[in-house]
This record gives sequence, C-alpha cells and structure tokens, in this order.
Amino acid sequence: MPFRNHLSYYLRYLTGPFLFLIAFLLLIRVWRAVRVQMKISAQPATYFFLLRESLKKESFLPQRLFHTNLIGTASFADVRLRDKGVKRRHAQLFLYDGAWFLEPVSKRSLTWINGQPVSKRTKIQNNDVFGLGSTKLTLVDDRKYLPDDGHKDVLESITTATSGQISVTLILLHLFFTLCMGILIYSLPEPFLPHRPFIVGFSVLVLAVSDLIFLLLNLLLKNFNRDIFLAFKALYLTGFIIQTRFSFWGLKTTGDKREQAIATRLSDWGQICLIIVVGLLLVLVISLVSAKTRLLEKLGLIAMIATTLSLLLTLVLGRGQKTHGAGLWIYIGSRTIQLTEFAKVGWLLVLAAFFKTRPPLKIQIRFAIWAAANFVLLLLLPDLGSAMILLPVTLIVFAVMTSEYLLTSLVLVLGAGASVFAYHSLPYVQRRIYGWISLWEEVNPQNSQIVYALQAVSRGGIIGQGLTRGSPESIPLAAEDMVFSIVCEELGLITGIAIIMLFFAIWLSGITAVMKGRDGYSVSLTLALTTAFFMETIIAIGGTTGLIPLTGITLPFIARGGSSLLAKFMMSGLLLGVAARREKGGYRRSKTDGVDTSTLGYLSKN
Amino acid sequence: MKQFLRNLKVVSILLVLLVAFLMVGLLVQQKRSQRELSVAVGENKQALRQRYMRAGSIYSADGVILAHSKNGEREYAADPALARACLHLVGDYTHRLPYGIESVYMPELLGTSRSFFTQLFLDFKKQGFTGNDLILTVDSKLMLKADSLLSDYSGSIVMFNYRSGDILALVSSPRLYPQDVIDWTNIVDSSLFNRALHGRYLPGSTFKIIPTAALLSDGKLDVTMTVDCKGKEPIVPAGAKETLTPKGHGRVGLAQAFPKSCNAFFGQLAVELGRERLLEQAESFGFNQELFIDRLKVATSTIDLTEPGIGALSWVGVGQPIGRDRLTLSPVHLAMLSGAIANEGVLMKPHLLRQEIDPTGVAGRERESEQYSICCDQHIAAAIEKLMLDTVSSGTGKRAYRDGLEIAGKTGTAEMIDSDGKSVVNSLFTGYLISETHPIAIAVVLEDENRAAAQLAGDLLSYAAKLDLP
Repeated sequence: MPFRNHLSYYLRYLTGPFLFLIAFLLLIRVWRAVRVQMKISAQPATYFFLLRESLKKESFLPQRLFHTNLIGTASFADVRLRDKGVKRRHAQLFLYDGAWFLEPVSKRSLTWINGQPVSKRTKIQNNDVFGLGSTKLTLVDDRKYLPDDGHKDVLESITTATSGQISVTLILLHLFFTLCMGILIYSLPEPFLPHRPFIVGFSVLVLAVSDLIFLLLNLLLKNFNRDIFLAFKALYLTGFIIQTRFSFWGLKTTGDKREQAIATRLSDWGQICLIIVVGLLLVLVISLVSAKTRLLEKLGLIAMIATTLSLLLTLVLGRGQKTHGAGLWIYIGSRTIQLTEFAKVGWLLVLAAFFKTRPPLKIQIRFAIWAAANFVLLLLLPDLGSAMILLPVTLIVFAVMTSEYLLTSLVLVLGAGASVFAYHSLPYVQRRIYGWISLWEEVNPQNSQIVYALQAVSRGGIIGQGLTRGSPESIPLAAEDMVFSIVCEELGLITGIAIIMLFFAIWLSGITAVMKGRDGYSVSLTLALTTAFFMETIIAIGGTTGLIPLTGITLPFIARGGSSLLAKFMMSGLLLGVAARREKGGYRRSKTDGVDTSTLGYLSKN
Repeated sequence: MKQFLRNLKVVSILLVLLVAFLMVGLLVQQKRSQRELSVAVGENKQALRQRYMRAGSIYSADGVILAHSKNGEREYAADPALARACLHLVGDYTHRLPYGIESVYMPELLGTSRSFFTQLFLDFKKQGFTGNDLILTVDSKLMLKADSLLSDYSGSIVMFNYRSGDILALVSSPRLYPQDVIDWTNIVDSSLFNRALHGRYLPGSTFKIIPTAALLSDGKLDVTMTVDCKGKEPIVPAGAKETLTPKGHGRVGLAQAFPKSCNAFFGQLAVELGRERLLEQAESFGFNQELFIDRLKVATSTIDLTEPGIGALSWVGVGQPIGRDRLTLSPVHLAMLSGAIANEGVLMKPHLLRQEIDPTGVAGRERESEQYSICCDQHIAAAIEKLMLDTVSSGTGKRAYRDGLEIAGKTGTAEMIDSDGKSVVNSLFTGYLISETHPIAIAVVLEDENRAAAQLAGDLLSYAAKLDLP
C-alpha cells in the first residue's frame, strides 16, 4: 500500500495526544486560577472596614468587609448582627468603582445614615455612621494608605495566564491544526486533488482569521479572558478538521452526477469556512459591544419576545419530523435554519436579566410563567434536548443567584414529575428511553444508532485509528449528532477526554469571571452561558455513548450544523464580553457619576 | 458574599462530579462495547468488508487455511466443500452468522484487542495494520468427512478429544457456501442456525447414562436390581414403556437393560432414584449450567422437573419427558457426556482456539488443557464404559461397531414436536473411541431420522482412527 494511505495511521500517535496536551495544560492553569480566585473572593476588601459600636461595653469592634456585603441576622450574612430590630436580610453594603453604597433590602428594613432615614440606595463616605435597629456602624475608608501601584492589578494578574503560557498553548494549537490539516490535505482523495490549492487557501484563511481576531481582542478588550478564547479555538478547529474529513471522504456517487457531487461537497465545505469566519467576526463585535456598553441589559424584553416567537415560528414552519424525529428545520430556499439554536441564546439572556439580583417573588413568578410556556413549546416541537439543557442551566443560575435551595429542589421534583408525564404521553420519549434501556440486550431501531456509535468508540481505542481511517458510513448522522463517536474512532478516546476537558476549562474560566464580576447582570449571564456550554456537551456526549438517553443535541463546535455553529460563536462572544467586564475606575476612583448601578448589589433583594 | 461563594462551591462540586462521571463512563462504555458489541445486527456491510481487508487468517489444527485476507478481499477455505463445512464454525465477515469465529474473535482478527505498547511495537515493525492469525483445534479432514457424512441430513456432528478438550470437528447441516451468505443468495431454510452449538434436542435414550451413574454411585439402592419388562405395558401407571419391543425384555438387570436400552428398567430406576437424586446427577453432568467453548456460547442443556406423579418421572428416566417437564441437550454437551465417561469421569474444558499468532510471527501461549468438572467417580465411569462397550458390540449401537476398534456408545431416539406441530423422530448417538493415540468422543444428532446416527458415528470414528492427529 502506498505511504500516502498510511500517513494518518502512523501520525495518530501524535494527533490525539497533542490535543490532550493542549487541553491538559489549559485545564491545569484554569483550575489553579479558580482556586486562587476563590481565596481572593473569600478575603475581605483591604483598606476598608466597619466599626461596630457596642452599646453596652462602650467600645468599638472592627468588622471586615467584602466587596459586596449582606448585613442582617441570618447565619449567612456577611456582617451578622444580633439585634432584634434587624431583619435576616436587612441591608446591603457594596463597593463599586471605588465608592461604597448602602441599600436597604426592603422598605420595611429601617436604616439611617448620619441620623437620616434612607429607603433606597445611597452612597456613603468615610466616617459616615449608619444605624440598623439599635446598632450603629461606621464605615472606615483607609484608601489613603493604598500604595501607588495599586494592588488590584496584582490580584488580576495572579488569576490570568502569562504571555508565556499563552504562547505555548497557541503554538501547540497551531501545530495540532497544521498536523491534522496537513494529513488531510496530503492524503486528499483523488477527485478533490485539483481543488487542493483552494482547500489549502481556505484552511489558512480560517487559521489566519482566528489569529487576527485573537490579536484584535487582545488589543481592544481590556481584561480579555484568553483562556476561554483558546479553549474555544481548540474546539472549533477540531470541529473544522473533523468536518473537513467528512466533506472530502466517502464520496460514493459515480457517473454523470459525480462532478456535481464534487462541486456540492466543495461548496458545503466552503460554507463551513465561511461560517467560522463570520462567527469569529461576530465574536469580535459581540464581545466588544457587550463588554463596553450596557446594551445587553436593555435587551431583556426583546429577548423574551424573540425567544418565544422563534419557537412558535419553528412549531409552525418546522420540518424534518420524518428524517430526524423532530421538526426543527426551517427551509429558506434550499438552505435550512434552526431557529431553536438561537432561541437558546435568547433564553439565557432572559434568564440573566431576571436573575441579575435576587428578584422579588412577584418577578420570579413572572419568569416561571414565561419559562413554563416556552417549555411547553419545546416539548411540542419536540426539542427535548434543548429542554434538557435549559432546565439545569436555569436551575443552577437560580440557585446561585437566589440561594433558594428549597425552591430549586421543588422545581427539580416538578421537573421529574413533568418528565414522567412526558414519558407516558409522548411516544417518541418512550422510544428513546426504551432504546437506551435495551442498549446492551438487543439491537433495535431505537438504539441501533448508539450501538454503531459505541462500536466506533470501541474500535478507536485510546489513540484512534488515524484520521480518515474510521467508518462513518456505518453510523447514521455521523457528521451531526454522532460526531463524537467518529472523533473517538479516528482520534481516539484521548481526544474525546480532551474535548470534555476543554469544555470544563471553559466552565472553570467562567466561574473565575463570575467571582470577579461586580454587577449582578454580568455575573448571572456569565454563569448562564458557561453552564449552558457545559451542559450541552455533557448531554451530547452522554447521549452518543449510551450513558444517558439519546437526545437530538449536537456537540457544540464539533458537529456539523451552520445554525448551531453560528449560535455557539454568538454565545462565546457574549461570554468573552461579559467576562471581561470590570469596574470602570477600580479601587482608586471614587467618582461614580454616570455609572449604571441598577444591577449592582446582586446578593439580596426582596 | 459568603453565601454566594458557598453556592458557587456547591455547583462546582456538582459539576466536577459530573465531569468525573462522564470521563469514567466513557472509559467504561468503551471497554464494555469492546467486550459486548463487537457484533450487532444491521451493521454496514461495506464498512465491515473494509475492516476485514487486512484481518488475520484462521487456520485449522492441521494448517489448512479456513479464512484469510488477500489483496483486500476476505476469502474462505480454498476447497469449496471445506468452506461449506466450516461455515457455521468460521462464520462470515458480514456478521450474518453472529456466532462464528470471524464475528466473536473480530478484535483479535483485526488486531484491535492489542495493548497500546504491543500495537506501538508492531507499528514500529510496519506490521501494525495486519490482524492476528488464529489457529483452531479443529481438523480439516475430520470436518470434511463429518460434513460429507451428514450430506442431506439435517443435524450436527461434534467430535472432541476427551483427554485435552480440543474440539476436533463441529459441523451443522443444512449449510451454505460462505459466498452465498455474503451475497445473501440461495439461502436454505434454517441453514444459518448452528445446530451443534445452539440446537436444543430431547436426549432420548442417551440420557440413560445419567440414571445409570446415579444408580452406581448411590449407596442405598441395590445395584443388582431387576425389573420385569412387559413391553407395551408400563410398570407404573402412565409411565415409560417399551414400544420398540412389544413383547418386552423379560426380567432384566442393569447389565442387560443398558445395551438393550430397556425403557421399563430405566423408567423404574428413575422412580426409585426420585426427582432430587436424578436432578443432582444430571447437574453434575453439566445440565442447567452455562457452557462456553472459549468465547462461543453453547445452548444451555436444561432439566426442569415440575410435572407431578411417578409416571412422568419414569418418562424422564428414559429421556422422553412428558407434560411440563423439560429436558434438552445440545450436541456439544452430548459429546461431552461420553467424553467425561471416557476420561475416567473427569470432563476436560472444551476449547476451539489453539493459538494466536501476531503478524511478526510471534506465537501466543498455546492453550493448555484444564479440567472442567468431575462428573462421577473413576470406578463408576469404568462400569458405564463396560455397559457402553456392550451397547456397541451387542446392543442397540451395533451399527457403530467396527472390527479392531474399541468403540463405546449409547444410542437414542427421541420423539419431538417441531415448530410446525409435526411429530419428528430424531436419531442420536454419543460415544467414544478407546485409544491412547486417538482419544475421540463423538456426538451425532440427525433430525427426522431414527437409526442412522450410530452408523455415521462408526464410520467417522474408524476414519478418524486412521488419521494422524496432531
């Protein structure tokens, strides 16, 4: 056999382990950053403290402060008072852009500043005395002792990667991409050989645009989270490699239609390149806009309407029930668009807008009604996969932002009840579950797809069979829903694990950003986006490998699907943008004019 | 802030657990599918063909190629008759026969079962593509002969070496040429069913070995017991009777009843032994126990005695249960019954795979013979051997008698209701050759035929005795 066919086979010792190395380095770094950030966030804000006046002992007790503090009698309050006139969640004291604000949690929590009663958010200064119940507290601001270089940037630098680390990852990533694309382009099947220059050109374009966007974001976006971007880059480049492999191999058409089939394959591949380039531009624009402006905060209502509308539109116009079991595809001419992918982004925006603070019950109920209505739409479509992603994401954001564990459990129980109901009333759910249960006993139409996928995973072993040496023709929808099994077959289980690690690194980076965030909206949106990526991955991989019942969810960035890829790029733009948001002036500044403070102090509202 | 951080920690721990679950789950699913999913219904045939392009070869013990890949094509034995005889055993690369060596040993044949470092070493030697070769224990000449003797019968023949446990021949009929299976043409009814491994037959009189062993090993019963056989008249109400000899055998003891296969005697014996004793003895001979020949699963031989009354019990004693009683036997197990007697009551573990050879020619360890179970004491085996010798020399198994050979055996005819509700008589024979150079046990099962099994076994054993077995 000619050497050309064996190249990918011998280089499989490099391809999978390469990506694993990239993911491993990234994950280790991000893991450390999270732990450091946890410690930093748990530390009090230096140079500030409260003096608590004890009535009986006629003495002062110093009280440490975080950047956001809940004052009350509850055990979880940051400044805990034992005073009958104080409520469990009484008031909130927070630092933003170098200024301190005091805000009573509700109208009934009586609070005074320098003897004057206050009912809304009020800025306070050094030596201001405020009273809650019968306790008097004095804010002490020792900022004049702050060293000139400012320690804020030091903290920031501990939790962000150094240029050295970034360059190593970047170089490894380039090597990985060049290696894999080199293999593919070198061993290109005969009918595509004349188009080799075109393919090389577009591949270089994809890489060049990636680097350009990375460079631009470095320059334009302050506090740009490079780890998140690199993890995204590793993922969509892997996806690009796999989709290139699908595009040019396995051409069966012969005779007159052959030329046409070749042209279709090429144009489809070109379209993937185009979507990546457009997606990257979207990342640039969206991240800059969302970091530098407060436009997103104003989109809440629009997102609510748009999400519901796109679900309704899909319900009316959606096709594909026969081929895919769900009618999620809207045809525009010969192109298809999957609006539900964008509806998911909309949902996350709405979620963040509602839970930017701990909302009053009335608003929570309003959200619950909207969410329930959209859930019904999702079940009618039926897009069970999206429902399976959005429910845990919503619950996690809800639980973290409101600390309502009891209510979260209640919703979980309700969700379990709803799924039992769905199981009994929706036959396609029954089929899926049956296919999953009978996976190891027999091969039936409900589970054959997973069985063939698992066979592919088992053939791949640890390092895979080598790019292009798998057999995607034996699995239905190999390039779309089942792409993970082909990744495992050709690049090995090690690549599969690397993909999980990359998504986990994104999640951990997101959590670091969440802890750095000062305003509620950025915090909740970052949390929602990063969790959504993660859940989608878990459900897609779990489904294709038979760990959980199969849903129609595709693996983000890796699976084929223009709408999905574009939506994922939009989400990464949002994530990069909101994760980069910081206080404008930092510690030093004490002027806060012109700052939108509506979403600050996110710990407690009533 | 404290509370917010705590919430984040809780969620983090939850997701770390999820990631751990996913990664471990992935590894587990891969290992499990390597074990259990190598074959699945409806696999893509074209992909399978691609995969088998560089698969290893399968050889018989005497070095004849049974399957190999050449120039990107999977080919089966060069002699079409041999290829046809080996169809059920070897299987096909399209996995239409999911229990053949090709399917069950696919990881070895394709080389995907190798460890990482073995594969690395082979890749270094540029031999990594090719799969491992397998050497089976079957003898190609015996396979051919057994297959030609089966000719147009439906049935199966199993031969195995009772000293080592090597399966020497395993044929099932009707069978097809491998190419017909691959192309899915000229498919004969039930021809894809491997009767030797998966057939469940009524044992008929061959089952009488079990009550005999029970009688000889039982301290309480009188070994010299006799029964007055009155032919069609059963000893116990609705019990077993002698239909082939209407006048009856008269008063017979074990020494006369066994060679003549007297139903009256064995029916009465079963009644005196009782259900539990019979069940215990049958289970010690491997009934109700899962049986594997290497990775190939054999249909489990079952005995289930639920029908009340001594009449039913006496029918079990002659291997022809009535009512709700169940008694089935696979041809492989039938050969093993004789094998155990022949090997002084010790049953050797049967196996089919002799050796695995990697592409660089390094041979894996040769399979060693090991004991499977002890069925009965040595002196009981010797006593049953005497009875089985008498059966062939002067009893019902006379057709298996060959001058100059010491053949021991037991015949059986069993009436079965087939799937169409029609009554069919099957002819069975189990026996062995007493020889230190050719220790061969045999089972022959012929469907819809009442006497030829012993004849075939005699022919085959005398043919085997002349062969130079490795």
